[in-house]
Amino acid sequence: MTNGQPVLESLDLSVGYRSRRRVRRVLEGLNLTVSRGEFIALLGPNGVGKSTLLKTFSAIQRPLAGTVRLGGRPLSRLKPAEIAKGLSVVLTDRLDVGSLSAYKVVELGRHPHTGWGGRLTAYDHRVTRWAILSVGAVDLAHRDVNELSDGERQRVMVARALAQQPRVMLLDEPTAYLDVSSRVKLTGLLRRLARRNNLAVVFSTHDLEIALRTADTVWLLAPGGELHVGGPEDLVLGGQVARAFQGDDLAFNPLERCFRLQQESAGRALVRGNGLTAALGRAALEREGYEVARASEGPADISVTISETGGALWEAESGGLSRRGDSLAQLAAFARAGSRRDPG
Amino acid sequence: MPLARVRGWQWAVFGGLLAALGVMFFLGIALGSVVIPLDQVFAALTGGQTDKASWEVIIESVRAPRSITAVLAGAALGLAGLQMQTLFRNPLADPFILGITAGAGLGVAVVVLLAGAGGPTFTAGLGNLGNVGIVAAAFAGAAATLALVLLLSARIRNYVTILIIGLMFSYAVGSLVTVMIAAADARQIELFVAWGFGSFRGVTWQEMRIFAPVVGAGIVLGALLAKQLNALLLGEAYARSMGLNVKRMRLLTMLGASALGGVVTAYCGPVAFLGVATPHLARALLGSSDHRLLIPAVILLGGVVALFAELVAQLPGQTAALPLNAVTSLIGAPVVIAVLMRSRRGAFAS
Repeated sequence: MTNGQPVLESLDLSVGYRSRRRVRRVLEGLNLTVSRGEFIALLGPNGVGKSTLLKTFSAIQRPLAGTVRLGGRPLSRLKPAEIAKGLSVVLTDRLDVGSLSAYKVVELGRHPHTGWGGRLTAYDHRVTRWAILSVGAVDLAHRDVNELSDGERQRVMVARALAQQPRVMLLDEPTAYLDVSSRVKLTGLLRRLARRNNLAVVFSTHDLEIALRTADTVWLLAPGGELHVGGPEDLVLGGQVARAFQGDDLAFNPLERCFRLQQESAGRALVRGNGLTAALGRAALEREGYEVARASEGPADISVTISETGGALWEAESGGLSRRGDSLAQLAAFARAGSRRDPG
Repeated sequence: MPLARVRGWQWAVFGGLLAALGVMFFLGIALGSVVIPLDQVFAALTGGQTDKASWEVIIESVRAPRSITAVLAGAALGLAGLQMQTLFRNPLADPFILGITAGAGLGVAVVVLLAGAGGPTFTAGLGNLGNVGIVAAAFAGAAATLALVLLLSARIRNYVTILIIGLMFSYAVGSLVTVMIAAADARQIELFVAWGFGSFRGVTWQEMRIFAPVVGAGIVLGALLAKQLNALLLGEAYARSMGLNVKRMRLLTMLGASALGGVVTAYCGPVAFLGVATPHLARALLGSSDHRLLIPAVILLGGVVALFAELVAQLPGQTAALPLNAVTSLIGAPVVIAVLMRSRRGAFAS
């Protein structure tokens, strides 16, 4: 993924807040590199310093120590407009722009490229249109940004950041207020933009699953500020992902790359059957706290046969009782009743 | 994509504003306490002879400077109000929110209420608000306030804090004025109250030589800052990320807006309301927050509204006049409320 020199890098970077009386270091000793076209997910629990790190990278906030380099040159030596031409952001700040069309908002991204008067050339308008087209927001262009849905507004904000024609785009929780399908769409869009435009994209998110499935590289901030960098699969393999989020009631399933509610075992379940229905039947039993056996070995507290052809959807036997049913919710209810009858 | 920068109907709005300004300006010249026939007004305007010499004098030395003052003051207050509203992201902001009026008022109070005891040399001609002493005092008061606020705000990042400091300053200064009023005699208080009415009639051609260039400079500065104000629409963090030097921009905007507000207060008294109202009307008319559209609009609209208020205040054909501030607020408040209620979501989102 590294093609040549990193476009953005940090050297022994410490980030945090400086007030008149005291300095609060949030993260220390960060050595990070971002290459062109790289799609990076920044993961970590709330309050660990993701926003602070992104703000420091984008020169909105100053580092407490160390340097950030954009295109090999320290941010502190670059003029604000030069930084803005290389790096753009999408923030969590609530938009409060009065009445402005989406096109005008995207057009604002041309700010660092225009002169004192802010007059837009034909080229600026072309870039604005390209940015709108790239995020698939053509039909939103003439609409007032206040009237857009959260997902639509976020796409417009990505277009605005794109109109700055940066080499790096930093996004602070771009999917935070979006519904599931919008999240997947937006993440997919960002990944596409990174690939097509050789644009480095760093986005922070709480959406572990989507991040692990889409990112080239994961920056994982563990509680306490420890940083792990690597490919998503490597971090799963090394157990860093599990350790960063795992709690008393949360267990990471490395195979499915998602977290599972940890609960007291309700017993062993044996499920016979193939296909999607059987798989979902196993999921329903797992939800009820059963350990589902892979093969028909050993004793089971509940044994289920799932068949997709004819008759009942499932037949189950537990503690001497037999049942059959047509929905998996019924199966779950039967299993639940079984675990209450015969705890452990 | 329908992406024209200025849409057809927005051009029409500008055309309408220009026409309204022309009509209002002409009415400002044509109407007044003395009735002058329209053909005579045209004659005077085109440099011809009027039937009565006094008509030419009235038009040249009373109505023309008065109308020009109204246009400039309206434009200045509209622009300064717009700048403050965007800068502080507050729809209630006006040019005087930083305590400029209070400072000017203090200056005037010092001159009128304290120095007024100095005797007839000062009080002579105080009925004329163009009085040099009052203008100088108001100027000094406004400038001192501005310097103080800018100095403080250079050390403060939080906008709300700056607003609160301005407010506190206004209260403190206001109480000083109250103390002075308590100690003053009736004649002095009357003068001070009269200053508080506001008027476009005090600026002579002589004074126009300072008033007009200051307003002009403020407008030029405002136009140059249009791009920056637009960037600020997305909030300070975004503005910073787009390369805006927020601190410098804030300082320049506050300087420009306060100079505009200060010079109007010095020459016309604390003309209320126009600074708050004009930006709201302009946003509602144009349906946009783009400052490249709003700035020319508030300049034109401010002039129109100020001329209209002055026309109503002077009660054509009458010798008496209403206080300007009473007119601007009485007529303007219902208009602004009506406009805001009718526009879908209010002219300012907040």
